[in-house]
Amino acid sequence: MLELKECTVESSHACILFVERYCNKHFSTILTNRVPAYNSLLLTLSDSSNINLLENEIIQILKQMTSIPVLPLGEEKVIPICYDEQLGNDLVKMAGYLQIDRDTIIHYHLSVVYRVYLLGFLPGFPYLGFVPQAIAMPRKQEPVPAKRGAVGIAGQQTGIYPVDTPGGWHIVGHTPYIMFDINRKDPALLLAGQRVRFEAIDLETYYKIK
Amino acid sequence: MEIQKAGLLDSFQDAGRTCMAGLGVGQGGWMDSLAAALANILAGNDRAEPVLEMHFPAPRLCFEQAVFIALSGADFGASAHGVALPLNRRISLPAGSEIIFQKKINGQRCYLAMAGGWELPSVLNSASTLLKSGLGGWQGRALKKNDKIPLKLKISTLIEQIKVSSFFLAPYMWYRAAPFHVFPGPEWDWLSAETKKQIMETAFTITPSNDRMGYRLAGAHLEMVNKIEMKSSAVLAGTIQRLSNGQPLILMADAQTTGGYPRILQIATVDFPRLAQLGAGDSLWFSFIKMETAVQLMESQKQWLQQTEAGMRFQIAGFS
Repeated sequence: MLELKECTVESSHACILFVERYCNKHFSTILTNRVPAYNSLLLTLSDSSNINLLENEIIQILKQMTSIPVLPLGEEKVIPICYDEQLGNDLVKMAGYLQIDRDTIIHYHLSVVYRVYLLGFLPGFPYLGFVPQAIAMPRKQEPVPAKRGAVGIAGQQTGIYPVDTPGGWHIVGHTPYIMFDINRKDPALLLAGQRVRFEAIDLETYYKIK
Repeated sequence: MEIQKAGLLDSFQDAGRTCMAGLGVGQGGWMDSLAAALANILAGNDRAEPVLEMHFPAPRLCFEQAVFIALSGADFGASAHGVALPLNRRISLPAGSEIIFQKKINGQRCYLAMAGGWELPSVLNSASTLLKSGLGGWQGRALKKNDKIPLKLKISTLIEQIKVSSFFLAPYMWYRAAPFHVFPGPEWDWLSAETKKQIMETAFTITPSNDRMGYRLAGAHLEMVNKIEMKSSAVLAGTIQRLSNGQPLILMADAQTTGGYPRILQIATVDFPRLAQLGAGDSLWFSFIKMETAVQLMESQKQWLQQTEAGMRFQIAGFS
């Protein structure tokens, strides 16, 4: 487990992904899992005897780092989202809590080019950062059923439920896209490090794509 | 194999999915890897073959064709047509046999291995059932009444009566009172000095809220000195988190891949099989272990399995 402290989440994440990609390139034969997150990286090994080798190598990489690595920006992924109430979302409730109107919440949610910080919780569930403070929401007290494709907010994070599941995030809208599909070459639609923009669609388009 | 009556939670499991945690796909797989391996060895299978993992109440199973099977792990008092089917032996069943499990004698998870295995699809390189996502195993779910799972092997030997092998494989030796070996977790130092002492010196009890995802424990209230909110970060099977109510949660095989609760301890992999057989009301306590020692213990567990497997090859040759 590698954890970076005392720097901004953007910089930590860039360093984490740099180390993760380095390890994938040079140590893929001994690594069983790589789980990058906001400021941490978990590496698991098939054989514990390699642990010191890997640890020393990572310390060397970090020591040689003179500046925050710049990750290739890559393609900007566009995720269609339908904010229509008929799909069942929490926008009205959120508007009451945040003391702003529904359209302003949508406007804020669409205003950011997000970064995929990590995948976790469920296969293909992306943690995207960060929504403007004005629409940050605490988690629900108890998890309630959310539909596949539901786009939620928790704190300043926004994420997309890949399957029907109980969840504690406040739902702003729904995407017709399938976040995780085992029949695709790359089952997960989004990967850590990618940039994501939401694009509003109406109900008719939502059903057409779906 | 037909399910005549569903059990509490019957699912197909193998060693699970490695290399996918970065996509949010947890490892999953059998909870008690040693019992699963033993059942497979007795059935004459490769150790990686998927097995049926059962909880109590366990299912009623019917085999339309003659089969060789083995049971290992928890003892649920299995029998077929009045004949007791003990654990850790090779069992031959004639066509039409029905197995029932009548009594929870010990343990929490019983494994049934089928000689030749079942016809199950490989989903992301594993046949394990990922219940939360509805992937893998048999239609991505726990087994239900009237499910008919095809077998890969049709045995040519004629089996006329139920036969239980005279030889048996002794399960791995556990000392029931032994502590669970742990490493300090990334947030261990967020706990108060008094709490750290209490965790290592007092027992915790497994609450009724325990399943393949995790075991909630009850015991000393865990005080934090660090109140800062944690950012979501990776967790593993065996990670012990401190929940907001001050109680610990041990993550098990089907745990999610990331979490936001402080990770106070990590249980050594070598102790997972033993943990998998504990349930509500059982007590456990912890003891720190050095990495070298954990590696050595893991090594001897692996050797035990290899020796058991080698020994079995001779036995199978004389049994049909």
